[in-house]
Amino acid sequence: MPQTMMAFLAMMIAALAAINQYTAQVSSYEQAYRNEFELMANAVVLEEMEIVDLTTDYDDLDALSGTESTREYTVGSNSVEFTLTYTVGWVEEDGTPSEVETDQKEVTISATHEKFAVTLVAHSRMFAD
Amino acid sequence: MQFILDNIASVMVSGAVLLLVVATNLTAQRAAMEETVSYAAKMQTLSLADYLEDELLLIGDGTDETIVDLQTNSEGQTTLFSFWREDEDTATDILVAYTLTETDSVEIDQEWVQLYQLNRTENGTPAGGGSSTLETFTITMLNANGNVTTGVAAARLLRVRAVNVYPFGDSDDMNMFRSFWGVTVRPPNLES
Repeated sequence: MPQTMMAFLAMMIAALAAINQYTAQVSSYEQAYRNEFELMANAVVLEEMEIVDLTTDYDDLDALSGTESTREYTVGSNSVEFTLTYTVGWVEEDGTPSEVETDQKEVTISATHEKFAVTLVAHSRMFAD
Repeated sequence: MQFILDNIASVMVSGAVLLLVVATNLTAQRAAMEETVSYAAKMQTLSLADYLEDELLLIGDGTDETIVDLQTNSEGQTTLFSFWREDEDTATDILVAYTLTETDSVEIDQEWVQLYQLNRTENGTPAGGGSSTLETFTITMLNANGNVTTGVAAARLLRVRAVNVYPFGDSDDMNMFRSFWGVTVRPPNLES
């Protein structure tokens, strides 16, 4: 009987070690997978920020706040679609948010993807009047 | 009889435990190898990215000319991208060219993938380069509205996309094989 208990214990310990290993491995893959999406999202957000900078008049930036759009990271025939969310707010010269009107606005564009529950990337840029 | 049964049971249990431990170790080793390969590929990609991003911002810097040529192959890859900039050390104009040349082919997921090497020249002389395991490298000119343009005069942004294939390892044993990167830069001299 004691031998049986010891054998059972040995199997339990080995099984637990294996489960731990597989869990860590899955977690590592998920992280690597997410890193790739973050880099793709980063490219998309940076491009969108430049386009906003080029195409949007300072006075019209407010209209972007709270809006969403979709943009794709495309390589060859494959593409990954990200949802971009825009936030615009007044900021002081040092970048701190302001409740009252100032001469600077901060535009933040954040990217999300349906596979991930949290924001992948967010970039902010200050625009001066 | 009891003695024989006990022995058989102990051999079975120890065999199962041994197999489990060996399998766990092998899996851990494989995962560690894949992580290392992934890290190496990512570093290679980001190193190229840093250099490229900095240099593209210098297009036309200190010179009258900007982008000279942008050629793509049938796969949509940018095979030649050349532009003028000023050499920061000698203050002379230099023609920088990035060219893409075919290297090896690798099998990923039962498909053969052509790889490319990115070479860099200054006035026709080799001057650096990048990864030789690029699967995709494209530079696209965008106009002020973010639409693709082929005219340098209308170009305001440069969109760069690159995919680097993991340089080592066996794709049969790996879950991820590629590292993705992209950036869009706005060279100040494209606007003047």
